[in-house]
Amino acid sequence: MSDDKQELSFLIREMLDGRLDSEQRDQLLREVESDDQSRQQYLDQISTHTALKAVLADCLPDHDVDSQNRAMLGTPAPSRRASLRWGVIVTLVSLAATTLLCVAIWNWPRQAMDSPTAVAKLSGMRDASFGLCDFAMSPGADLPEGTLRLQSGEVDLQFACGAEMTLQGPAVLHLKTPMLAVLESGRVSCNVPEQAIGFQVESAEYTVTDLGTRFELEVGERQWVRVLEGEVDVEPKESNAVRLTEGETASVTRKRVTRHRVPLQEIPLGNLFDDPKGTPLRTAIKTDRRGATATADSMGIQRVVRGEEVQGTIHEIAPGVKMNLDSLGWCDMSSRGVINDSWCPYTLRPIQTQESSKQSDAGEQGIGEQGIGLQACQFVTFDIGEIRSAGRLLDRELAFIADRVGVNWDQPDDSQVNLAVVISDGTRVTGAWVNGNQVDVQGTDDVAALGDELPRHAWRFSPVKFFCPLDDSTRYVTLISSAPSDARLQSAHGVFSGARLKIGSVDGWATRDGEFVQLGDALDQRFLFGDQRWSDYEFSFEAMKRFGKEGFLAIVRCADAKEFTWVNIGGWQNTRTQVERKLRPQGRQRPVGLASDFVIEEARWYRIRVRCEGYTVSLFVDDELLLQYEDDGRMQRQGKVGIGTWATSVSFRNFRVESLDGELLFEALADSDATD
Amino acid sequence: MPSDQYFLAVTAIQNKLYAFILSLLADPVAAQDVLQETNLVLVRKAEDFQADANFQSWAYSTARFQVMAHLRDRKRDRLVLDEAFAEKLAPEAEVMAEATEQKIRLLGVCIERLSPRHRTMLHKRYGKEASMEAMADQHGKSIPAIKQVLYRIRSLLAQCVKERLQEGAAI
Repeated sequence: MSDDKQELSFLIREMLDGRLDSEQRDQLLREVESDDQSRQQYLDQISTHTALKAVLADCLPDHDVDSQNRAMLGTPAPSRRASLRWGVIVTLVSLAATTLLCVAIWNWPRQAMDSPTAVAKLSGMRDASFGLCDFAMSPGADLPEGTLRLQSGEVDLQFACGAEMTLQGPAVLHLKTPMLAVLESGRVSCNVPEQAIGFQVESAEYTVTDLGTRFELEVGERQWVRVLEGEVDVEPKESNAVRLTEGETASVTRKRVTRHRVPLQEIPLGNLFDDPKGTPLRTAIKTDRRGATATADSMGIQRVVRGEEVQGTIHEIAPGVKMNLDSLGWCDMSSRGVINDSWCPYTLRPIQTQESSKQSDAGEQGIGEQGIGLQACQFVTFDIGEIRSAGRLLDRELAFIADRVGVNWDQPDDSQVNLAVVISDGTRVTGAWVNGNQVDVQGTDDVAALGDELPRHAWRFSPVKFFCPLDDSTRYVTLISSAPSDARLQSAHGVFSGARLKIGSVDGWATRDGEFVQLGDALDQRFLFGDQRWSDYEFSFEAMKRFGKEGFLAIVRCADAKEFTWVNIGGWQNTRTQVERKLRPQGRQRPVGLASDFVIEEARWYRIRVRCEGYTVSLFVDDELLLQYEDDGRMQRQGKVGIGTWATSVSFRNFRVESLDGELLFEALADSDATD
Repeated sequence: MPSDQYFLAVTAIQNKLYAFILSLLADPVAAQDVLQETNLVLVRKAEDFQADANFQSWAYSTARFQVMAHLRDRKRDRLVLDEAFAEKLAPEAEVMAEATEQKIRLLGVCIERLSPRHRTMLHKRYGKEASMEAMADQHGKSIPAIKQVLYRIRSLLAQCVKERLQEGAAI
């Protein structure tokens, strides 16, 4: 660089530093005015200087003028990231602020912070991004009073008082003092040692004061506080403080702290799609956005796989679990994701599997049913471990239920249009249901498969119910929607209406120690399973009465709640046993045929077998023929099987349905001796 | 232009206006004052702005007017040459100011390439506006030495931004 140039560069720098005397200034201006190159250098240096100031001033924790101004004006934080220094004018002037006020705001001190007191230290970063300001943040950096704007990822902060905090982006955190941080948005978790008791995290709506603990909170669309250890006081701005203790989670607003105390009854799985991992379960359930799409980042979701994204029919459906989906049906047609409460992410058309929901005034764009839209050739895997842990449900019984599962499929051959639920434990498949029925899992140790003879269903006419009890080992539940390998029909859409995890017993039904139990003594409790097209068969099971007034029911040839036959064993207050038949036009079931005086004793297992052959129904108890009924030809010739109770608690096990030529049609809850 | 958009535009153009005004005044303190005056005028005259007009021209001409007014006021106090200079420089200054925005975008990337020590010094000087004296004290160096380091950092950055601008142009 020439001496002239160096001299000019020096003058420009002195000017930018505000150090020029009037003589130097005149010299500078003369040079810039008279020489093109000098002028270019002058403008370049000013431009770079301004850019540097703009970038650096925004990135460093600075005195927190903008939030103070907002607090003063009572305006919310601007959602877009604006310059710390200038962003405030947007909210300001749009409120038609007076000139005076504007001057006051823009004139905040641009003080030097030669020796700022560090409020906290940036002790760790994981995939953290501060956008343009990334360069300003590195582990070990001292952070003075000011604002952190984390765009994504996580950072760890070590407050001067000893409190540790992890901030999850996107988040805006104002560092105030070593004992106080203001969370404008985002999520933090804090670990506060004894010497920092009294450490506070404040939001616009409430203040959390630590009493020696580990706690987490989120501010924004979801607002909650969770205490992992110890205690905190949560004080809403417009109400009194509430103490939360270890293990408690609460939703918080400006006016109220609501503990998540009432036991959850069920978890509508689609509601979790719009919530990030780590959200308390109750908060996640509360936010229910129709059209939210499941991703691997959603709460409780382990993976979502679309046929078009993967090759072949063997896929890892859950960690450590491979499955061949060939017999189920799998294709590479384009699908539209796994969607909450809708079957189409574009139109957000609601799920409507029942006439009643179609006819409701909600109409096409209306409310519809809770559930999951799962178009053909996709699967979604839920992480039951994660859900249990988020909802503190570690020891609770769980079952996956979907009330009405169906697919809209216009092709004449629907032989490979199946909807399935597969459960696995992290190493192997432990259970599978296809079109509502439990099926055997085959295949090798490495790759599970379902047999070729899967229960089929005529979807367009009646959706089916899934009831899949999850035992303690169940880690993942995978929902699969399939179509033939040559399918190209993109509009085929499957829905799992009412897809949810039921916590505890289901309408009093629960699985315990390999038994299926009606725990309560409510009237008319029925549980149906099997295939509507089964006609002649033997349905057997074992039953033991626990308590109550009656025996139990063996249901056969069941079309639906309006048309069925059952054997009422120990009915009429446990005084007799007789077949009852319900025909469609009748108001209720009626006893038919002869009665037996057989009654049921408590705490004793009975082996029950009901044989349906043509119009003959025979009841065997402990392998002895007890009752035979000849129908007059009006009873159903086909239908599912089921069990039922009436004001009585009963345990059932060893369900089995065989065709009359000995073919096994269905088997469940076989006793452990038989399976080992 | 709806008012929200107008105010967003005012916010967005602040860095550019500052560069523009600073180059016409060659005085950072005065530039800050004139920027504030310009902002006040822009806010006051929001209603006068025609939705189909060019906001940038409107903002720069408002700033130029405020620069001239400032220089005229100053003239009464003491003699300065500046009005003609400012008038002459304004069009080029506007082009420079527009380029500043792109520099801001590139700088983030360039600063990442600096050594941690250099980054720290940059923060202190530009982010926290520490004085040369304070920095010299903190680093146990003379003021000229600190200046020299800052000069080197700025040169590195300028070179980096220039390279990236050329890369961008090549694409």
